[in-house]
Amino acid sequence: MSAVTQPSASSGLPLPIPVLLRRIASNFVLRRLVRALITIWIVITLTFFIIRLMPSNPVDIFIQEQMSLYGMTYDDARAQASALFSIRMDRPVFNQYLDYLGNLTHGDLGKSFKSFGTPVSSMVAKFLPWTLFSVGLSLLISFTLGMALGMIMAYRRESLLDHILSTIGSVLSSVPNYLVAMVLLVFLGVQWKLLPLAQMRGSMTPGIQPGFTLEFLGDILFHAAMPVTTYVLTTVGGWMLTMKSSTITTLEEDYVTVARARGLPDSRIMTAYVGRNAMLPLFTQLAISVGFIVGGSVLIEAIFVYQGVGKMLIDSINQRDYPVMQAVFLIITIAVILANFLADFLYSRLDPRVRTTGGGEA
Amino acid sequence: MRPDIIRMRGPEETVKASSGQVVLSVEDLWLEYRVRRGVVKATRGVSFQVKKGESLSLIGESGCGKTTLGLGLIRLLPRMARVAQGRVHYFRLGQDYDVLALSPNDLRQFRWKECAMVFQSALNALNPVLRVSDQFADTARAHGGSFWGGEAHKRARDLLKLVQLDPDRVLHAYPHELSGGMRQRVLIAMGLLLDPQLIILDEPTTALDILTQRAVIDVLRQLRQQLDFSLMFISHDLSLAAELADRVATMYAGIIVELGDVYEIFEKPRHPYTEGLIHAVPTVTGDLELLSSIPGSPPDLIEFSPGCTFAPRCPYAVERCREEEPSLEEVSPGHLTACFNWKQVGSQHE
Amino acid sequence: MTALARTARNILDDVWRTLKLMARNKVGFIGFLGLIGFILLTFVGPSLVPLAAESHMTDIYKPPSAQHILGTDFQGRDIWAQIVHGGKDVLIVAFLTGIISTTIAVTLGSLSAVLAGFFDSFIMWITDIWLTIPNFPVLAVLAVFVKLTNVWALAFILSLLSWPTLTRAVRAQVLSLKQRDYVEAARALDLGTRHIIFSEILPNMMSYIAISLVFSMTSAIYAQVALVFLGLVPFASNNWGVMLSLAWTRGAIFYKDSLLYIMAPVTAIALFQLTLVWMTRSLEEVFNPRLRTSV
Repeated sequence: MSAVTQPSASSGLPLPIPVLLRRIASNFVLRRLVRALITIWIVITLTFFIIRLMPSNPVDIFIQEQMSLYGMTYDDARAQASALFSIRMDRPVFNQYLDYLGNLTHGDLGKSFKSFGTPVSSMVAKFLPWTLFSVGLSLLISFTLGMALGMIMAYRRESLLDHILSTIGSVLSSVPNYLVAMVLLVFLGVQWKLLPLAQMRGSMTPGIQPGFTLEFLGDILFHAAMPVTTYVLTTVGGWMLTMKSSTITTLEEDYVTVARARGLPDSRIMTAYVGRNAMLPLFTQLAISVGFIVGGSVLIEAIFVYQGVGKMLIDSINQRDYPVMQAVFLIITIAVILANFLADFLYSRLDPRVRTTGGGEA
Repeated sequence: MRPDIIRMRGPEETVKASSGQVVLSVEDLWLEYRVRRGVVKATRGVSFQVKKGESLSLIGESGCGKTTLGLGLIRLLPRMARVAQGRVHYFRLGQDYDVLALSPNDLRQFRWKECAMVFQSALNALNPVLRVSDQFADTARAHGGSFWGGEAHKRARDLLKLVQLDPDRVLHAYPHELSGGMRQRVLIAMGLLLDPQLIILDEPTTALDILTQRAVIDVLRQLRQQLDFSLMFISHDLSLAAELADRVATMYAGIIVELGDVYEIFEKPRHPYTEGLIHAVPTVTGDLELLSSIPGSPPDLIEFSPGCTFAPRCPYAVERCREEEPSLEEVSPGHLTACFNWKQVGSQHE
Repeated sequence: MTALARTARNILDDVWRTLKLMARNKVGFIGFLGLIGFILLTFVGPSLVPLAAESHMTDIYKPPSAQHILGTDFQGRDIWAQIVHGGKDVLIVAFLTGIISTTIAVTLGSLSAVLAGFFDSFIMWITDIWLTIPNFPVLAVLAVFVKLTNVWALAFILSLLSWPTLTRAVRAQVLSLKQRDYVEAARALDLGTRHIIFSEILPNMMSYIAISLVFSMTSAIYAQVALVFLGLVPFASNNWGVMLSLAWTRGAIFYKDSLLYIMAPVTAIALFQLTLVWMTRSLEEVFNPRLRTSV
């Protein structure tokens, strides 16, 4: 690779553009980053245009409502809409789009219809952390548990444990997650009265001071327990079965036999030789899992009355609060895209073979 | 008449003088596999010894049981295989160790430190997610030593130089960044890291292209000159034996059919199979008319018909060969063969 | 035998042979029987079990009895009858979605693999973007703007969800089959793209297509029940999703006595998903032409 470091006269970038593009194309992480950013941009654009072009266009509906309910003139109603969406409605659509993009870069997501003009961004700031917390925690638990169980199942193939876990895993992953949530509620909460449901609603007990105290952490875990349990139960099966088949394949690889011939202890072989290689295919599943859990959060948070962005989306849909709806949809989608990028990045750290296209051959 | 292939060894390279001490002794080893059709007898009463400092080659077609034998010696047989009977003894500093009875911990120490088995197709023999240096470190640490900055580290670097590799480049690399030939040489260097008494090479050159084969063979020759270890290599390639071996054993259908000094084997083979193998190897200068192949195919290792297993393909076979199976017997000092007609062997190709 | 009788005989033979192939995999066979059971229950059942439309406020949340096998709901109506009547819409939407999305996926996927080039890159680009976006929120938002009054509209919207994954999978399969010898032969004989796709590649993918169809059905069920539960689909009729929705809004979840009212649709939906998933294990046996003994 050449070592061109002088700034390019025309573009002012540290490298001339062709070299820059080639660098990006040959680096896995950069490629995925660019892809993520482009996808985000496409989602933002599509959201804007599809909502505008829909037959039941929220802006027009709002304007109609304001005119019929409050007797406003068209111009006044439109000005109202402009204020709430933070976009100048009297300009052509393309200019509205530019306004929209500009707003996003400032973090201005418009103002809520129903909550008397509260900035959506502040609402998002209040609700988003809870979803991130519950979803993130669930992914961590599910992934780790699935990996561990999957490896055990592979090492103890065809044993009773293997059969039991396989069956449980495949049944749990076939049942819709909101049904599992309901069953948990009904049986644990109502029928067998094992859990104090009323107290578990919401994401935290009001009045407790947020901070890194044991009391606070315990409280948020208490409130997040039901959603997290649901997410984990419905995703762990998939991880388990994938890890099991991946481990079985890895155990038959030459380097495992050679590792044993080298006299390496079983513990080292299991972690650094089998485990580290068998877990790689799971990262492709990670992308799907994140989308699945976040998508499911829309329902699970509603069922458990957990104040995350999923519940925010449902409430805004039911109330036809369009700025909120649009913003939450964007946030959710961007979060998933970024999470996928993170998974890609992690994968590149763990598997040296993908880091560059074309390694050096002697 | 000395065949061409053996002439490649220079006149100054004689058979390396061995002190005569035995390092590994295998007696009457029977290894079998359980498959759906029945029991495959991979080895049927194999016996031989490897002496200190010598190079013994085990030559045979694929499926004759040689790889199973190698795996059995370090007790790395797959799940459906087992040692039916036999003894494997390892000797070090006057102490006698029963390999088949080693405890799991002792077995782990025995592997690689006393006896290192380097497999064929090193393409996938190294962990793809760890750097080569980490894998050397693993090996050293598994046997009670430390690696980084210590003696083992220095030895690794020296060995890599010995196998014609650049230590700085190779140690820092991941396996996929190295070519097949480089990986094979890394594995050989790793095999010598703990200074084992015995190295077993299984098909060291099979998966490589001809230029890399040459490189690896030269490296092995050099290593034998410079370091002190016993070498046992398993191959189907007789020309490899001509270049590297002090003694040659040919294996057919699970038994050793001939065993002897490399020059004697090549000049005067005493088993029809060995003779067939020698004359099937083409040489650059040799005449094509002298080339022949061994007709027929290897026998079924589950059901054995009575008599010598090679009889169906043997040009010297007589009635007795189809009734009795010959056992390995000494016909001249240090030269053993399992053939009733050993005296006639060679008459076909005069 | 007359020609008609012979045709009937052939059809019966085919059916019998299919059943025998299905039975090879125990789990798959149970799934298959389960599917038959559900179809009978939801399509034939309604004519056998009457649906009580009036409410008997004296009989709210009664436990199971001879008169009401699964007890009664918050309006005193029989639960079992509601279950029997409530599956038809769910199954119809599922089947329709499966067929629509599989058709789209097979067409686009195989064209994409066979034509390659710009078309292929474009399709892959779209599916890539689609796969990174969480599907259900998209659906929920779309449901606000599109009037989903009949099963076809709902099925169409739902198939928008699952066609990208299926398309990628179909494309991968076709790509691997494209390298096979019989395709090379067909190409050498210049038999045309349409022939190659329909006569050479597709028959070898039938088991894969069948399995994809079943999986798109499972995701359709997930999505439609969720939408109905959230009240985003203006369905007037009674179905399992509506039962769930009513149970939720009426607080049936929190009463001890209304257990059956909430668990009945939950069990029905969960069991149906399970039977579908189990059935996929047998589909490979049935559709793999290499397992057939006669043409």
